Amino acid sequence: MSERTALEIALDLDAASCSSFVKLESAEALRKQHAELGRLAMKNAAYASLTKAQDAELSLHRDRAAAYRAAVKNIDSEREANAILTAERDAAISAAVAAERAAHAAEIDRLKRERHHIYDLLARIHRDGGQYTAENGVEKACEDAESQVTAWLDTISGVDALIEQARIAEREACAVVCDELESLLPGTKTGNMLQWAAAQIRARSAT
Amino acid sequence: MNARTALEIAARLHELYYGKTGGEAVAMLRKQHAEIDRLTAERDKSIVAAVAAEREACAAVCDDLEATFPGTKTGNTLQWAAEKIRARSSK
Repeated sequence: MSERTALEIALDLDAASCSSFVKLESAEALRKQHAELGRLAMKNAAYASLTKAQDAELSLHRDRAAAYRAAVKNIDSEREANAILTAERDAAISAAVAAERAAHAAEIDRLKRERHHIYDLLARIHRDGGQYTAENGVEKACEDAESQVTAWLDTISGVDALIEQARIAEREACAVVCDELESLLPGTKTGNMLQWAAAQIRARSAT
Repeated sequence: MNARTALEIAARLHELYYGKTGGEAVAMLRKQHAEIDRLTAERDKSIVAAVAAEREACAAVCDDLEATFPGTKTGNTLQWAAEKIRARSSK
């Protein structure tokens, strides 16, 4: 039934010659119903609009939710990748630290061995069991050891010079033996040979 | 400083000074004296060995020459020279 038809019916009822209470009441009811229909139609339109807006908003929320879920998934994936990378990095750091520790331990061992040798050498030079180095420190012990070794080298050089002088004297004495024998046989072949022997003995100084 | 003087000083110090340092000084003087004796003996031994080696080398010069004149007067004289040179060691 259209809006016009219901009002027209109401007018027709009003215009009828045999107006009765029932007719008037019917016309009034028709008008009320018409008005109610208009109100309800407006309300329905408003609800439809509201629903549409809510649907749009809901759709927006759904899109956001999907975006959030995607972001969460991405974050989870990144977190997982980070966990793997972190584990790899930690393993690499652990290996590097272990290698560094091993290298340090080897270096410390080497330094300990060197120190041991130095202490032994200092003890030998200072002619004790290491007491001088323990009492005066390695630095002073080294300085004093250098002086001591220099003194020893000077002494050895002095002894070498003495030995060389003794050898020269002995060589000359041996040559003199030949000279003395030659003087007993001057101008002879044997004398000449003894003279040559003396010269050869003296020539040893050049060898 | 000769050894006798060092030992005399040690003995004198021992009489005059009773402290710990004095005792150490006396012990050190005696120890160093003994060390000097040892080193001097080693040095003398080295010199004697070097002189003996040189003497033998000189005698070897005569031996080598004698080997070129075996059984001759010259060879015999060179042999005698080598013996005289070696005989120096008993002097």
